Amino acid sequence: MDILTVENVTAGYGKEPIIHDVTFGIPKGGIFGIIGPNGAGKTTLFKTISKVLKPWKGVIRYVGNDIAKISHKAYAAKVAVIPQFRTAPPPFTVEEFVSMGRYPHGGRLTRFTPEDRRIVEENIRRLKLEHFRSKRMDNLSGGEMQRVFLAQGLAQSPELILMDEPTSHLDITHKIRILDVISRLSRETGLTALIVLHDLNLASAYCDFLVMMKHGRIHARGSANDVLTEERILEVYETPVRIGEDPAIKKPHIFFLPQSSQK
Amino acid sequence: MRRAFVFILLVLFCAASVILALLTGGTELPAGEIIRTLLHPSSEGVTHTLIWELRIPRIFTAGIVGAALASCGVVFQAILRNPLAEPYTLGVSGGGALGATIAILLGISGLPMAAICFAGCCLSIAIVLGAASLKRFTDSTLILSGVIMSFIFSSAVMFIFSVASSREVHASILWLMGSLSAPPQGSIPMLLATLPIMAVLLLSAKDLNLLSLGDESSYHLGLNAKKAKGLLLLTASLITGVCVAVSGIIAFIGLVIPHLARRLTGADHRYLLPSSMLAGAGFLILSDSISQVLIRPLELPVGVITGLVGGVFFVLYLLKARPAEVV
Repeated sequence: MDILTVENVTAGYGKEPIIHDVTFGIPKGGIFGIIGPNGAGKTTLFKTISKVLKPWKGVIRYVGNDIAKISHKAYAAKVAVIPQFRTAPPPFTVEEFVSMGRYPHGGRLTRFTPEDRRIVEENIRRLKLEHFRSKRMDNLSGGEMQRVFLAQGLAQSPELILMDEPTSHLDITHKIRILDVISRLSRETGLTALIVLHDLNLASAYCDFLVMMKHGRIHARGSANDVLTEERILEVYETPVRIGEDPAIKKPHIFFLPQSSQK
Repeated sequence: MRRAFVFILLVLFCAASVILALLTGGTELPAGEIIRTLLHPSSEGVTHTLIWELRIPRIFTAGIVGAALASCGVVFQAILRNPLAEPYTLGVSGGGALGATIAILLGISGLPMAAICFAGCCLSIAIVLGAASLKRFTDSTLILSGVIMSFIFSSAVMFIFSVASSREVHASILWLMGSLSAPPQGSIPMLLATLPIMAVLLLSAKDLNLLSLGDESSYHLGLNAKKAKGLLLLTASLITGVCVAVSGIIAFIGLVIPHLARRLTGADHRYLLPSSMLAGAGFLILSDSISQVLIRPLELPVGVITGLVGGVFFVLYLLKARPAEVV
């Protein structure tokens, strides 16, 4: 059974819808990638799933329940969201910031339990933030900050984690480290991840399922081998590429063709 | 560890301010007599009246108003996510000023004046928050509408000034500067009533942490940001309204103390709120003592002292802090 289903969802801002009649299901476990060119509606779709934007039409179900009827707190106890853009965080320390991930599991008056403490500690270690714990958020680099955001999301003990372009402005060390953490958790604990990705090679390497969007609709879906073909990328991105197979991981790899080489 | 130490220091600061405020005042009294009066609450005489009926209620008023303005400043800065926000940002003080000026013009004083002033505060809260809830305001629209409301109210005050007698204008201006010298009758129960409301703020510390990250992050972490913001803005505005009705528009505490406290105990509201309350209470009690003795036998409005001390202190702090620390 799918952990999350999007059924005939149309949504947008203002008057014009950005995504039209989108339907798909996210199977439990594994990494589910959403790819597509800028303006394809990936972030709009992401916002409807993360309960920030209400769908105009259609319904989104989490394990069968309409998410519009789930409280924000109950949803946050199951689903963590790592958005693409954030405003500069106030000067919390890293440890304070990660601890806020326990919010959906606590009452107004309850103090931090040993269990909360253990989970926060576990995720600080998982993202190698031990030496940063007392550092202030506004003194971190972009890569360090993204690791803290992920640690906070994982401290929610989610069953499903939603990430919008989690790696787009990071160096390769951080890109790989962040996706490796998700990939290991998905294998070891059955965490399901939905990741919006720009980098097609990263999508190919890490995602078990892919959905490719164009003009607010789903254009293709399936495994990386099914979705990432030369014809389809030309059609969706209007850019010719060559595709080979990565010999190590047996996944498609996209080679770019600079105009000067196309003569 | 460090935090515990800071809290002990803040409590000592408050205690020292209270002792200083008991020992000094508009009238000079021998210290021995003050202590004797304190130890014998049932005695009689001038000293007894001065201590038990003037100084102690005044210290109490200064403490609560200081704590309230500082903690409301914390709330406004967190929710509006703006380091320049303070309790008066949404125009509460403008409404209060108009109410008080009208009361002075009509020759009303004491509790009825406080009531009219509080009604003015509520009017501006109702207009700003009402508009915000109807039109889904962003933080900056909210701030802008507060600023505009303040302008409208101050124009109305100017209009009243232009038709009022100079004596009334003088009384209004003194009131506008903020003073603890003549809190209206019944202000003690009003202040006592704010204590449970201030407890609501303390209980919302975790929510404020999330709100300070922005609306979307609050939703993602499980807080209904719109509801929580509405409730907290209303609560903080009402508390501010009571302070304005009791003691006029005391400047700067709600802006400066939160920044200072953030520096001492960090951005986590579970510590920031209580540390701001302590610092605000101690600071206002101290400022009030200074305002009474500086040009004795005359008394300065305490707002002059808080504005001066707070302003100078803040400039020094901004010059000393590294840019990244000014938040």
